[in-house]
Amino acid sequence: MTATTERQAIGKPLPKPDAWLKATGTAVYAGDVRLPGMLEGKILRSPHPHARIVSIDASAAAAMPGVYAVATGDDVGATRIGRFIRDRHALARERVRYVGEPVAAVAAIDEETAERALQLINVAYDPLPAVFEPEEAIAPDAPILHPDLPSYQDSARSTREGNVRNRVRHDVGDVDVAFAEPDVVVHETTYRTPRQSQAFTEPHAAVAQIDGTGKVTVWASIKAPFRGRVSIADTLGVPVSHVRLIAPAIGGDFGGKGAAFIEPIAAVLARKARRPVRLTLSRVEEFSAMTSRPSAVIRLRMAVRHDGTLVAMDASMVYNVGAVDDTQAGTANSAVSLVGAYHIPNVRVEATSVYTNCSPAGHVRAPSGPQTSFATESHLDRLARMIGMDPLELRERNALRNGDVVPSGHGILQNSGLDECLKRARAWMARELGSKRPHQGIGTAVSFWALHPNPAAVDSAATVKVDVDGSVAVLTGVADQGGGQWSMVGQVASEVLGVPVEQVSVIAADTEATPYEQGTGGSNTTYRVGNVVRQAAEEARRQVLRLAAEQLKVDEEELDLRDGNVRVRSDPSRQLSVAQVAQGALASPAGAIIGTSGEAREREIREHGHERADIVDAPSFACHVAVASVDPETGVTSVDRYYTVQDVGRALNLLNCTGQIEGGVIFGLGYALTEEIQSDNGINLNANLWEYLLPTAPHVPELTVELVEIPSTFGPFGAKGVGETPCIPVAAAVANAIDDALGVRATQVPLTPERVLAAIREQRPELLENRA
Amino acid sequence: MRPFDYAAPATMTEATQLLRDVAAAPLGGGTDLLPLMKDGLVEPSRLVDLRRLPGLESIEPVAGGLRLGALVTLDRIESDDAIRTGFRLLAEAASAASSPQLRNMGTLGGNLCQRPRCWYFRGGYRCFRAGGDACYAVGGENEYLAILGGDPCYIVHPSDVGPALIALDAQIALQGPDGRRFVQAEDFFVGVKESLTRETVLEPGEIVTHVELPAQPSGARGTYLKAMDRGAWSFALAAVAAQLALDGGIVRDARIVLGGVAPTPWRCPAAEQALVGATLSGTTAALAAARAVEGAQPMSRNAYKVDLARGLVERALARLMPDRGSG
Ligand SMILES: Cc1cc2nc3c(=O)[nH]c(=O)nc-3n(C[C@H](O)[C@H](O)[C@H](O)COP(=O)(O)OP(=O)(O)OC[C@H]3O[C@@H](n4cnc5c(N)ncnc54)[C@H](O)[C@@H]3O)c2cc1C
Repeated sequence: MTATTERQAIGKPLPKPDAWLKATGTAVYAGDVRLPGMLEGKILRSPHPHARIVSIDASAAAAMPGVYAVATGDDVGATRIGRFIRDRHALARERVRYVGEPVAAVAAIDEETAERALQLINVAYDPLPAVFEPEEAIAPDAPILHPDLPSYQDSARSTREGNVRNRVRHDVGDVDVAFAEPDVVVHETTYRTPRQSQAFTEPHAAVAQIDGTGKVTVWASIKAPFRGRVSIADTLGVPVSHVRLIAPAIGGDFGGKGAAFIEPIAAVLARKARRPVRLTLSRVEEFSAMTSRPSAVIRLRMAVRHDGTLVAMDASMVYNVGAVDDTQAGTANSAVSLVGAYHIPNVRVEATSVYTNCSPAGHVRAPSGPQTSFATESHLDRLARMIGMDPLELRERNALRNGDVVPSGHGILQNSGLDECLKRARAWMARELGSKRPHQGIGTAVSFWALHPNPAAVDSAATVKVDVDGSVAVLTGVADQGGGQWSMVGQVASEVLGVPVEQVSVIAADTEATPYEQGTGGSNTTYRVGNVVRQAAEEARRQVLRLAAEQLKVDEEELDLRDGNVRVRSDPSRQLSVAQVAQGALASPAGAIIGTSGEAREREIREHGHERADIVDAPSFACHVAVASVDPETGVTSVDRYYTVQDVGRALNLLNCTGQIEGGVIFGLGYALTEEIQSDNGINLNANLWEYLLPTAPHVPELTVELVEIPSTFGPFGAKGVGETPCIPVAAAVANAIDDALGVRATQVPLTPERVLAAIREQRPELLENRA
Repeated sequence: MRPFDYAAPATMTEATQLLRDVAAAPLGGGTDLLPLMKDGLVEPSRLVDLRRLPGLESIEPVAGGLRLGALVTLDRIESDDAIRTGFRLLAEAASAASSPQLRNMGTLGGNLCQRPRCWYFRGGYRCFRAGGDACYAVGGENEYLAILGGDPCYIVHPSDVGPALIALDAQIALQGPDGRRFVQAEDFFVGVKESLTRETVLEPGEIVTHVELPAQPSGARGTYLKAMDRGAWSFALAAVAAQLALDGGIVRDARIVLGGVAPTPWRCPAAEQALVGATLSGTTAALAAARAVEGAQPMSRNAYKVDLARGLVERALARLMPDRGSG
């Protein structure tokens, strides 16, 4: 690692290069791609939550002038696709399992023609009994959605039976003995959380083209192109190398663009039509037929001693994953994320995810985080009140410390910033918060996102080229879904190679032109991709220095590389520009300067590999404080001020870091207060932006973001993940503030006037009776 | 979307002529009509744009009151000085509606004639409102729907302006193929007993041309309060328009109208009676608030609206108490 103290790019508040493109309307998104002869695709969707497809007659649609192709389940391979479990086909075969499931698709000269053609497709359905709630779905006589479930391919081991998609148990210590301890205070509540949409700005779009040799190229809003191409290849029945997937600018993902849904359909249409096809979804399709955060019902019982020591947690939680489960084994990490940031010696958690005839579940920013955090962080507050302890103190007492084994059992915690976050939150509250107004409350909650993988177990690589004018190009498979990944890549290369960041270009997210990459997400992209870019850039840097040393006739150690120039330290007048070195390289036996990550990566992993396998190197902790006012007459909650302090390891880009945290808090406020996909018999009712209520500018409270920088050992420049941690604890912080304000506990998110009023009526009816 | 003609007549005669066609629809700001057309919920074959008609965009004083053209935008109502000083309740109601962009486009007439927001109706269900023979909300997701005046259809009227006009005792001027007529704002909206598919008394081809706000009695003061899931850019969970005439602390006249709780703006005579002649105090406010929601028949998920509406009425009255200094 470069040991310069004055940084070229790292840590600076650099604006994202793509911000210019977006602000000027020149960024190219998948839906902007236009090819000669391109057709428009449209999808016919199931009106039934559960039905057998008896027959499809598409002859009239196919005969319509302007229609080039009609595709149905017969046109997709028998191989099921899916991000984790393969539980679906791109177009339904034999059976539909949710309202909105794609049944057929049309490619036509324009959208209107395609739309009209859809109406001519005659599908005969034989409706089947449907189930919408997990309780109904696990009843003995419930209709089974996926009769062949046990034979489905899954990415990890899972327990599947009937409509149970997966069941996970997490067992530590002896819970029953702990609850029977004489002097403990026990509290039990059931928490409910809603389905949340990713609600990104850009609806899904894909443009597919198949050339004369059968080579498939797809431009798509997908943040994991190397994963997405597998679904396209399997649907078409071709090897993955025949599919080239390119992810241009993406207008937001929040977890919803990690898997292929429409891309295989576009490709099937392009193959049938022998013309390029564009498919773009409407907002209604996004809300009604695409993935959302699964709803959860969490029954939680905990025991605490009077001195504030947590002794036991016993919980069961049920996720409704809809008819298609695009989440990581549904609940695999839920069982442990429920334990949160604490050391609890006795834990028994059972997490079950259940198929129902609702729209699909998928990843949404911090999968499982907000659900489990709402339960645990709400519960801790109540426990604190019950034993008369300050809620923050209860958290401090039980916080995980360096050296503890994290609840997941994945390893030993190191580089923890939790203590520092708690300390800063306390200081902020003492300094900034005066006396509370009537009906105003303060709520705190802690966030922990620990899923940073062992770098050896993930797939990323990078290549760095130095051009003859001294500019640098980085080739990486990583997609930028708006989180600033590409600007991070540029900054890391700039830093290592000592060239200004404006002279670094990033060629990315093209499965054919760039190295393999598992996909953006999990808040580990910087940690993982940043590292391989660093390694490739370091390799290129070595080449630059070696060639410069030869030309300048000095030892490499005597050289300094900065601002695009290589200088002799003892005599800075002796220097070469990187451009001169790169030109020289072409004429040298070494040839052009190209650094790759492979060797350095292997070397580093071998050196530290064992150590890395059992540590949590880059834990991401944050502490949030919500100051909220609750109107006891209307149940309306407004968040007046919001504070968050987060340990980011090292802020590679100050603007991006605080931007991610601010955005995450606002995302969390939507979840806390207004966002919920509501449905009736599997039909999503508020499938639009006037009924699905996202926070807007006037709903953002005064927001204070503080950063703590306790570096990770192995992340690039000490970086840790940032993006998911800030949305996790918001709902609990707000619920805790409501409790502090009125002494009522709302246990269902979002905390709407309806629910807050119901909680008041149930717990403090006198507030409703003695007013005015 | 079905293809349609577009006409922008310059005279009222021309406009009424064009609107004779049963499949024609008047167009104000288009903020409700165009989305309805895109969703296939209404399919006019002709749009008659009212924005070129003379005189419909003005706000004029008349006999101590004001005359507002139907094409005046909500944004202007919110910011007009004469309205803010003499009819503050209306300015407050307009500013509580939708968002700044929508208020820049949305017109007074269009706001009164906008279609209900029940998600079954808007979602394309063949419900009563859509000419079908069922209400899906009764056994379904009814959290946003009516607690008063429903049965068999439980829509709530979405307008914030409507309750305010009733509280101000406004008159609405209509122009149809057979001439002009005036209706009281209160009579402009029709309940589910009168019609399941219309929300206003407008006959085919008839349009709203003006709204007349009469001079208010001395000591008049009013306010509009609205509760929402999201603090802006959303429809009322419940709202109240309260207009009182006070003489010292004594209520001489009272008009209390709820929004967001019934298929029409919901006037509350029992609450008004509880106030008139009484001294405005916490006790009378609480009594009036309780009266306002008398007879409410909540469904499975909307009982909270009873508490909510009651709380809003009480708060509105508290706001109007003389020592609170609002007017
Ligand atoms: C997201 C969203 C949120 C909203 N929130 C609110 C809210 O909180 N409170 C609220 O009050 N409103 C709300 N609205 C409604 C908005 O204020 C209305 O869309 C607007 O007032 C309608 O005005 P317009 O001129 O655009 O009507 P248009 O869309 O032009 O017309 C609406 C209807 O009225 C008819 N019409 C129009 N003008 C006349 C006339 N002069 N005579 C007879 N018929 C006529 C049209 O044919 C059509 O049927 C919201 C709308 C949206 C889209």
